[in-house]
Amino acid sequence: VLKFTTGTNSWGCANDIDTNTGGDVTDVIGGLGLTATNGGGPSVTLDIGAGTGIVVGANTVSLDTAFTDTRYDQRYGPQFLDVSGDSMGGPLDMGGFRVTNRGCPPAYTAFGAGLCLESIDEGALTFSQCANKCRQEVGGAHICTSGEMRAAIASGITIPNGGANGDWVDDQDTNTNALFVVDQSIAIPMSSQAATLTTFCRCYTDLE
Amino acid sequence: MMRARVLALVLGGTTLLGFGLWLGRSSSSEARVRDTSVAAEPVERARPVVAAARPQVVARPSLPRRAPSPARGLAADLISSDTNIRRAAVAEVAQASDADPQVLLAASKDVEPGIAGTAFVALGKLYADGQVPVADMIARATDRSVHTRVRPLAINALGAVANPDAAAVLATMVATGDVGERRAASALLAMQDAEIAVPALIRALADADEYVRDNALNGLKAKSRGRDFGTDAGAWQAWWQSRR
Repeated sequence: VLKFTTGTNSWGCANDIDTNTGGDVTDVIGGLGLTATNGGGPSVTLDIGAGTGIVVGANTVSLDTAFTDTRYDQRYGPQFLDVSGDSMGGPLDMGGFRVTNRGCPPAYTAFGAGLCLESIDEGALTFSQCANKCRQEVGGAHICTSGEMRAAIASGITIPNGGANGDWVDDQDTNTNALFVVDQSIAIPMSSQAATLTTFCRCYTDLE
Repeated sequence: MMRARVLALVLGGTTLLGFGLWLGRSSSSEARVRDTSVAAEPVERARPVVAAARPQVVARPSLPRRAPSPARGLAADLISSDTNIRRAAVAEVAQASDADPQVLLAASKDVEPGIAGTAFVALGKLYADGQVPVADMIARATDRSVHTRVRPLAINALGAVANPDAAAVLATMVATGDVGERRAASALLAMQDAEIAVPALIRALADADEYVRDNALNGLKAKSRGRDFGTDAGAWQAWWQSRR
């Protein structure tokens, strides 16, 4: 065959030399998940089979979120949560681990890492009405105990809506009387009055 | 010499007589103790110990009474511009057994809600003891310039004691007051005379506020010795008319 010789910089006849050292592949077959087109060559195309929940693009393989978002939620299993604000329908086993970095409920003010006081207290409720109101709060709450109220006062963080003066305290000094805050600025800030009288009601929840 | 002997004899006799008298009294005391213990024994076996100890208690000198410390500078501190001083002064008056109602009435107008609250708590006790005129309490309870966080205490102090004038004020308050006043008044009417309270509470069953309605119903149940017609004002009215 006609070949160019670099040393003499000239064309001339020479033997043909086979420089291809391999050449065993004679066909391409699509394996699992793949489909081969023109497997015998010379150009072979392999396509990924887009199964359920998979989207195959020009250069990408990704989840079909339109499918997974509607699939892996509570319609198919109570353990699945899909969007913010969703709620579980089954028990949650933490396996001995803690839930950390929790926040106060809406309309509550944090007093440190684990103490949440209702920001705006309700005016003029009896002790029982106050206790029942707090029970019905989202997530459940209760009237501050004496210790919890003292902790909130001692924290130095401003208690919203005019402070704790007048707020019921979840302790009774007699069968008929319950405590309430008279003056949060003094060492003995509480007094008591008949539980059937009214005063302010501020709910409390903890994140301990 | 003779006079000296006579004098010695008289002195000796007097001494002997005195000793004899003392001896006799001591033995009769012991006898009384013994008699008491014997008499008490069938009733209460522990009694002899108490009875034996009793003469010692009687003989013990009583402790001198502590003189009350004078409240020096209290008047000036009550009107101090320093809130903490004023707060402590009012607390001192409020805790005193002979608290002056006029001082507390003045303190109840303090701009600091904690101080005013302390005054109202003490005023409520004095009012219950009859030491504060109802007119003064009504004036404070109906004064809407009283700090919001203290106002319930003023209303409670008035309404927690049964009084016709207070009941009339509460009946008006539950009908025409703001929601806080209506709630407080509806709870307090249960403590007032039924003649004024019951009609007002029946009307309050139609209040827009659920807590007022709840208080009214509870008050009516209490006034009717446990009857329960719910929020059926007509049924309550019928019951009330039947009681006349």
